[in-house]
Amino acid sequence: MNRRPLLFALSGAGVVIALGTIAVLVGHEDRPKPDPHLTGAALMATALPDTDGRRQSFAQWQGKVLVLNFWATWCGPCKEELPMLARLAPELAKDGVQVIGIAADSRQNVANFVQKVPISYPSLIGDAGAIELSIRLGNRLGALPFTVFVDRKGDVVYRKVGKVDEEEVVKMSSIAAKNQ
Amino acid sequence: MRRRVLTVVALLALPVAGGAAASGPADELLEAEMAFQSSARRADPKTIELRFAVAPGYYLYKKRFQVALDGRPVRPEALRLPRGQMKTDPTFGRVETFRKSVRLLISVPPTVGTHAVQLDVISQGCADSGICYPPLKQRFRLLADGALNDRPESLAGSGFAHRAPGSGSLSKSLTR
Repeated sequence: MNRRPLLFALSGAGVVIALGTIAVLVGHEDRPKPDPHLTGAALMATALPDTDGRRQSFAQWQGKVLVLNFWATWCGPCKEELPMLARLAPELAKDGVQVIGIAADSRQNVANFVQKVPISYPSLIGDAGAIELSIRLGNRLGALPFTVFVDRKGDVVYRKVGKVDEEEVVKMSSIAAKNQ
Repeated sequence: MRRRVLTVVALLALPVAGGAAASGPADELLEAEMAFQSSARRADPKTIELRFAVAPGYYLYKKRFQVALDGRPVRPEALRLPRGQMKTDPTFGRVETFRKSVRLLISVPPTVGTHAVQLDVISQGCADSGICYPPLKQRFRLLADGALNDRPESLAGSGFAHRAPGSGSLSKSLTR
């Protein structure tokens, strides 16, 4: 039995599939897809109180890359990464990247904590509602720390359960900033 | 065109750069109810025993336990907990934690032993992989004969509501 035509047909099909795959990839923009959990509009419509009790709307940061860090004073790993974020935030701000802390904690606990460990970026109080918000942003178990990188359109491009390191924050902020 | 294809390939090779990519130990983590499996029983007419089986690699904070009986917060002196293992917290210094298992004994008024009670418990723990769970609020219903619901209910909320004693309700304004 001559297998040449069959082999030829199979290799031809392989080429077609490969080209099709590349076409699909190229057809899509080479950027992360929007997160399905929470739309950018819904996020921008969210408001939470700060440590002084004033409600802060996310809309004020519209057009910026956001690094949302969910934490709590009862979360040891969260407190380990805060000094790094506090040090990095002013530098990132120069590139249009806004770091925002969202505490799954009470205002009093956070106020006491920031007296010991100053935080150089906005610190919002979500109490248990912060956990719900983090779940809507893809934090399946509601575990902390949880950090989300949001591009200028309000779409989540990266999320991390557990501590982030400095290199990761810089890298993901840069990727989110390039995501037009 | 070639540049875009290369960019696509580069992005595919970069695991963290995919659409809304996720990272971290989340996929390997247990649900809080599985990491900290709880049960309750009447040890005697004046005592309710609460047990937690803690999965390997996880721990509970001693100071984070809160208990309410029929809606009334149980006073700390009515709770008996063993000595825990010391752990250093970056802000709070040395704190006591429990691994493997922990047994809480709750002293109750003698009258509690004669009727059904509702036991609400808040616990909070973390995993060695570097994450912490939000406070876990669970409800047990112990019948007068000592029987109880097989599995505790997980409840919404971050704390016990400040309600009139005996109301037996918890705040549900916040969700876990």
